[in-house]
Amino acid sequence: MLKRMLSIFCILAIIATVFTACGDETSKSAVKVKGKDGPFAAYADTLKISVLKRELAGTAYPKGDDASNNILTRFIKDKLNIEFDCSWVVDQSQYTDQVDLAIASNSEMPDIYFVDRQQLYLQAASGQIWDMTDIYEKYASDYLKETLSYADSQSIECGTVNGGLYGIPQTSDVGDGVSLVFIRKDWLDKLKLNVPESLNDLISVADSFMKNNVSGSPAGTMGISMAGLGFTWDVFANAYGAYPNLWVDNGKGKLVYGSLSDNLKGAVTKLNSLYNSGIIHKEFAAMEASRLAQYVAQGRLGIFIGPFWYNNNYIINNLSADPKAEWIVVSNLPLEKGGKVATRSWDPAYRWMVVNKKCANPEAAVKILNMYLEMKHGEYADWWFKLQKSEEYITYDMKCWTPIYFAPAAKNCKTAVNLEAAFENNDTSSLSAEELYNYNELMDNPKESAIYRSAYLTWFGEFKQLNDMLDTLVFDQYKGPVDTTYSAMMNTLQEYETETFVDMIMGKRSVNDFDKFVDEWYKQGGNSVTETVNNWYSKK
Amino acid sequence: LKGSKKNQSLIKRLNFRRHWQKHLMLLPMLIIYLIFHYIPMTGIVMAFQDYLPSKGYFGSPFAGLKWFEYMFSMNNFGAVIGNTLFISILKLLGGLLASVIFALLLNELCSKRMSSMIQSCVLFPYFVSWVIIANLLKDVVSVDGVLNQTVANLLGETIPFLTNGAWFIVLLVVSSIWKGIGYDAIILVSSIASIDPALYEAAVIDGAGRWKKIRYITLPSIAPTIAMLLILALGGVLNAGFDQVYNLYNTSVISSADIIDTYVFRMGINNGLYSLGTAIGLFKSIVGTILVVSSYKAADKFAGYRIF
Repeated sequence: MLKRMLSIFCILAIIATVFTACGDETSKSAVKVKGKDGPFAAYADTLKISVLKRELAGTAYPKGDDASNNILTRFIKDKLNIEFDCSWVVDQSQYTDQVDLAIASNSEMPDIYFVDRQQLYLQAASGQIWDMTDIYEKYASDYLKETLSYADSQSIECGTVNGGLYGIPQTSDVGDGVSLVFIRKDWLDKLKLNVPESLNDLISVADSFMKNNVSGSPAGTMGISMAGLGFTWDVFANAYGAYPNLWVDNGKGKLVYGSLSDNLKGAVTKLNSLYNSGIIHKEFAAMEASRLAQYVAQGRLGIFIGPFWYNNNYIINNLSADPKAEWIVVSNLPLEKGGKVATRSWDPAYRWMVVNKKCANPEAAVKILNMYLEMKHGEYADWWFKLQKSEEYITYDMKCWTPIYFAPAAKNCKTAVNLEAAFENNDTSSLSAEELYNYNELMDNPKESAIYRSAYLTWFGEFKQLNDMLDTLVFDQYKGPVDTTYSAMMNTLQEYETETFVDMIMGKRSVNDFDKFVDEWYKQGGNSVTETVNNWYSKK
Repeated sequence: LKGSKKNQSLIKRLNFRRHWQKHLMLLPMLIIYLIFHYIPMTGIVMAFQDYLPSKGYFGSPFAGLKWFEYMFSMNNFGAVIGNTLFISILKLLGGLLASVIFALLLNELCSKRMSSMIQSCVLFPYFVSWVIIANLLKDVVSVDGVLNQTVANLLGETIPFLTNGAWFIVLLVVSSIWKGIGYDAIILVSSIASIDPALYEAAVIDGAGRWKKIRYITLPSIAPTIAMLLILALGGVLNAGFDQVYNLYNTSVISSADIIDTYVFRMGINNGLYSLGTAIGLFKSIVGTILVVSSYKAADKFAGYRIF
């Protein structure tokens, strides 16, 4: 009994005791390069780099290969004479927690690992990682610099602590965190409805879907998907001109927290009425995307709001189950037809590569990034995609094998534009290796197949629209340090905020309490957080 | 142990020479306890420091009682303790009542095979992780789940188990009883089995039916066991079931379902406030220790139960 009572702080304590004893390793001496040093200069002696690898669940390797030794690492060995040691592999979904625990336990970190903003600050402040400012400047290739400085170098800014670049941003596709609205086109046609052009259109479409039970399912048709305060919440808030969870400039040179905006009242009131009428699921607060995906697969849900990858992950199941199902995507929905709206996006990077102070060749990390970019998107892309298409590797997903992984943020948007041109002119000569691969992926499958329909939705729906949105996306404007005080305060306030809004949408609390919420938010620590944020902003 | 031995020295009582095999068998357990329960207690020092993992115990600055002050100044700390006690006491009383009824019913079964089969079936959920049960449960009690569809057919409306605070607590209590009843009943079933059958035979001769046998023989005979279970469980009253709540709760019920352990987890691990997490954990342990010691004393006094 005592055992269980102590459990929580025992965990904390075990971690601390067992691992504080780990002593310092004598640092290795630096390995020299052959000839002139530069972004792609190979080492004279083989350099061994250890990486805390994040891996997608279910990653498979050909026989004899593993995370540290596969066709891609051998390629890098060949070019740069760098060998990898990926003996510490963590599942992608647990990566942040694992790094949290590793930091908390003060355990021996590998040469290269990946952190979020909070961890980055902690590691930089404790002096355990390299200040990469000069190294990045000297060794990053132009292509890498261009890629990582996407959207006004904001991710580089996030990687900077006290003026030094400690974390090299690992950008991901800009569409990762942009809400899109997926709609069953065949249902719209069945009821002779137009494609919604505004949020209010969307609501009336959802209403007729439900009233007419367009799915024909005995359990009824569902309205608009919503799982907690996530992507759907963004769509509604943005339409009303509010940006919850983001720091936005108030036009007077000050950053204000978007969740406190008066505009949000409209969105909350609207969602409350949808909740009451059943268009929003009664259990939205306890809903998870995976459960919504089941409704989609069963053909009960025809309006599904989420980022672009909901297509490959979830909608494709409906496409293969129901050959008649047809999905389209709309985005950037204003409140009323003809109105204006800007959609919020997650930051272009939410992970940063850091290099352990004990690594004697920190520039190797940058060289690896250079090389990866050339392998997948540059000079050697032909080699990569030919290999991916080859009989030996076609069943594998090669990008899961690299010790490091990032993507140019707007690459897929560009692909969509080029694919469309290639389709129209029936000319593939101007496509890059990767684009050609995507083009063939589309053309090699019959038009009725789920893969074709899903890929079509990706390139001619999702990324075409994302491309049009690129210039208007709204990002969080606070790029300053995320120290423990700030993040703990922010997390607590966010809990309070989410609870309040969920209660308001469910009608447990009146929307009239909104001003009270704002006051309370400031009182519970919002004042000091706002001050921290604006201190940084005024010095910017 | 008998009173006469009480005055002998501990070494003599343990009698190593005679029972060395038994002591040897005990050794691994002692080592495990030492490593996983006693050494980690040094981590308590974190509660009095501004603990930084990179600096360790010796490098982190001393902070005095700062985190304890912080803990008591937090707005929702009172509510969290209230939730913990409320949920935990409901589970304790409900669980005990249910397992007593279950044990009595099991005892009334004529077929021994049937009764042991039922007991094993009911015991099974105890061994399944809450992660699995919580996910199954969410499907069953959700608005579109089996349970609510049946309820909707009967009553015309659904029950918001997952989004209404009061119903969520009902869900917590009932599911915890369902999961634990088999285990809780074991001790009661064996205590019923040890009742002298002569008592029942005499009662039958006096014309007692089943009901009267339960009331006048079974219940009074197991009353000390029930009292003992209740008193011992009091020591764990601040554990309202982390695994269960953490896997089941969501934002809409957090104000009524947030318990100390879930709170510590979010503050300590997710927010990186290790010292605060340790301080709350230490506070909980102190209250827990007081409860364990006093309930042990009470068990000795009222039910005559003692270990040492």
